[in-house]
Amino acid sequence: MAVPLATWFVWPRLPALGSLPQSQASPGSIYPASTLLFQKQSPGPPIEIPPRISHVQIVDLDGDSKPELLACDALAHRLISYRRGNDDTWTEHQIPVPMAAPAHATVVDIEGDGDLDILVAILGNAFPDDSQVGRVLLLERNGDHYDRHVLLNGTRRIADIQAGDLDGDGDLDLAVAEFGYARGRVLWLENIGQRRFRDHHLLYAPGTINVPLADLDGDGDLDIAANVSQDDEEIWAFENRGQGRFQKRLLHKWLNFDMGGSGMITSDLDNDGDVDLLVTVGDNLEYAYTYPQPYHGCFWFRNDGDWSFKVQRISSLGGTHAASVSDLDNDGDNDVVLVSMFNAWNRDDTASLVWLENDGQQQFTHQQIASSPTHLVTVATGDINGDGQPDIVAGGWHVIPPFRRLGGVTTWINRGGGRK
Amino acid sequence: MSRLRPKLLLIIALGIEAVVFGWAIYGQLSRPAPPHPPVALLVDTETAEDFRKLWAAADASGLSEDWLTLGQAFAVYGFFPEADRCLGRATQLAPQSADTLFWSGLVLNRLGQTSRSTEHLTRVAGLDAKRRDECRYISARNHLRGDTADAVADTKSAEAELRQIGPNHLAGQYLLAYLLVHSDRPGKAILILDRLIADHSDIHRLYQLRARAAEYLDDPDKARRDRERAERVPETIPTDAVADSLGERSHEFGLDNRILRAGRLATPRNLDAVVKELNTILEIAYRPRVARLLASIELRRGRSASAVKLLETLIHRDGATADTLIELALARQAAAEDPDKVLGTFQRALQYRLDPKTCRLMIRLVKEHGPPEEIERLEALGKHIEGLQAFGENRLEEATPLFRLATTVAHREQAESFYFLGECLRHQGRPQPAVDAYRRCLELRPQHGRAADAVDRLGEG
Repeated sequence: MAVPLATWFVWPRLPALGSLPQSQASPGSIYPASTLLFQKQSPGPPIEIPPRISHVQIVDLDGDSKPELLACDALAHRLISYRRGNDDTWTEHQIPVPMAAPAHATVVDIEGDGDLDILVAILGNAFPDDSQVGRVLLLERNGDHYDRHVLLNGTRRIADIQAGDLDGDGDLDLAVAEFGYARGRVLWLENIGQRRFRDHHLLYAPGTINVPLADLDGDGDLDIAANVSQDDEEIWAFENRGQGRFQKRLLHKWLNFDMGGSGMITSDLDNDGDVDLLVTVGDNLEYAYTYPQPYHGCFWFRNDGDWSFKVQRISSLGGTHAASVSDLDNDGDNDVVLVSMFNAWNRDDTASLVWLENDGQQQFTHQQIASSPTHLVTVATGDINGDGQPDIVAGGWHVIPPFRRLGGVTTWINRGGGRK
Repeated sequence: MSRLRPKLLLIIALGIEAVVFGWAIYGQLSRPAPPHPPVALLVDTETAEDFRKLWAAADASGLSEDWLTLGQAFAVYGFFPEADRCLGRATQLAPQSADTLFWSGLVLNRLGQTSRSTEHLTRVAGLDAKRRDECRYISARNHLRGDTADAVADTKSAEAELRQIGPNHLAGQYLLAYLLVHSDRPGKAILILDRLIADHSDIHRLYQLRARAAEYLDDPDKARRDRERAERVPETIPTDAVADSLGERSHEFGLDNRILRAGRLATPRNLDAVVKELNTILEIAYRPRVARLLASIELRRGRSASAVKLLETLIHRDGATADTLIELALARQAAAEDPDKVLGTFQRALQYRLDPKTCRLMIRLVKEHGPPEEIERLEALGKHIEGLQAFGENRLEEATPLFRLATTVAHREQAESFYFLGECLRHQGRPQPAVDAYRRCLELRPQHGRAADAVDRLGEG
């Protein structure tokens, strides 16, 4: 009697001591710690709710030779700047202009009056939406305040605006990424004076994220690049043929529907005198819970001249969302900083910020700077504290769990070599 | 001898019993433990408790179904490596279960192990005819992704999978056409797209892809016609099969399941109980949709001040959207707040989405508190927005008079109203009145590029 009873009682309580085979780990999640030391700071107030910083940059906004941080806050629908005091403290300033879901800010003297204006790409809705809620907004600096002008409306969600003289008439025109959702376009806006810009269609392409300007073919004028990531995963260029004429060129396409293009910047990565492109892939926003994929990472589009670009993967960081280029270790070559929005955040040690040390031959070694905050979508490098070393600032966009390790605008001050 | 025999038999019996019992204990002890990630740190307490129960069930019963359920729960909450391990165990226990293999295929897809994912899904396609097309479609996407960083899209294998998909699987047929467009066979793609458009004339992606094919075939006029048509059709094709499958199950577990049950309870008779339950849920974890539901119930119960507070908190925590701003404006109106504040909230909503309902609500408010010219402006803007909706669904006969009405009064989108009036007239084969409308648009906004291009195209530039 005792034996069956004891068996009945004890049997289910016997611990399971066996184990299941481990699942294969993602290759782009964890890297060796950085040999450079960085001091992390959070310039804003303590984080209480998950922030949505869509863009951040280091820029001397007020012309006092001390750089500020300028951030687009798509949660509170505002632009904020942070000024650094002498004692490592920061003060936050809101630019009091109403706007709906700013995606990107471009600081430029559009009026040519000697002070810096701000072009703001307005999504209108931070989430998928095909309606005409986008705006090209100009915040014109007038003394100590900004006047608001809508340069283009009646468009779908705008993700990026870049300024440059595209038609060679001496004033600044604009390249515009109308991301939209299922429908979108690449445009250029011709400056016809008195803050009026005529829109010209370049490409029908839903999901255009960035439209950086650079002289890609070395002929002395500005061309436009565009990364498209919605129905198609493509990199386009628009060769400037003068007088406002452009020839479109498809530089690359991926047939992987899930690629998740997330950003593109221009840089002469190999210091050979021409402009290369750095393209990041890792967007996973269609999923409620995400996981890094083997094809995520960063591609270097090496400019070989005559509109030929050699595409070379330089990173497989999971969920890569943005890149910045700077000589972080001061050894004369260009290093790359990457941030991740969609890494394996259920683990505490997965990388959200890494730098890729360049050996001078464009062979890169990954070094992990941070695993917190997570969900970083934007990054910039520059000398924040005036010590001559490039520092890092990044912004977090927390719309997907887990909602731990939160961060809005975060800086990493470069303290130079440490552990090496 | 006779005394020894029973003793010996007893010893043998006890020995056998000990061996059997020992073997059974060893078997029980060596059974695999379900993976135990730190869910309590990563999910809310309700969901963590659900995980604990699922974990205990899989551990205690050892049944394939329990391992499958635990694997599914891990998958929908993003614990993909743990889900893979549970589903691996479930597959060991029931190797022919299509459900288990299917979920394993989904999870491996999410882990980026696309070859293994395709292996599982191929087996499901053989076992379950209902899922065959879906499995082939996900497998085709797997072939295009590859499972290493340097993998090149295997378009041949993807195409082979897609060729086996039935003609009614829209996403599969679209992907096949997409591959043909991008592998130098746009003519063949157009044949597929023509057939799809004949059956689904309201899906813009089909027109967009056909336009791309026409561009490759050097037929810019056809490409432009399809691009323009894509602007006037509303529907899209759901192509995120794995995300959709995972999303469909999320309400079966944890707090999401409790939210679902609370929503089902919401009838006029038991609103008190529902409000209590929703408040409890919000205390466990802040979920915007729960706050919104609660605010709408509070408003229905006449507790407008509570609704205002809930919506203000929601907007602070989750950002403003057109919907939440409209709801906040209505709650503020019900709470008899300052009409200017209510109007300001509606105006903000219009920045986020052009919505005729917002205009109508504003008109009602302005009629009581605002200047009459504002009513005219709002009515015109409302017609413009209704016109856009009709235009977006290719209802040009309805859109034309709406835009006509919208052009009669100055409002913030008046130039756009003239432009879209021109578009409606052009698509109806009335070029001269269309040009007149475009010109009126250009008078108001000389920099309107699309209007200028349209005038040029119609030979009137």
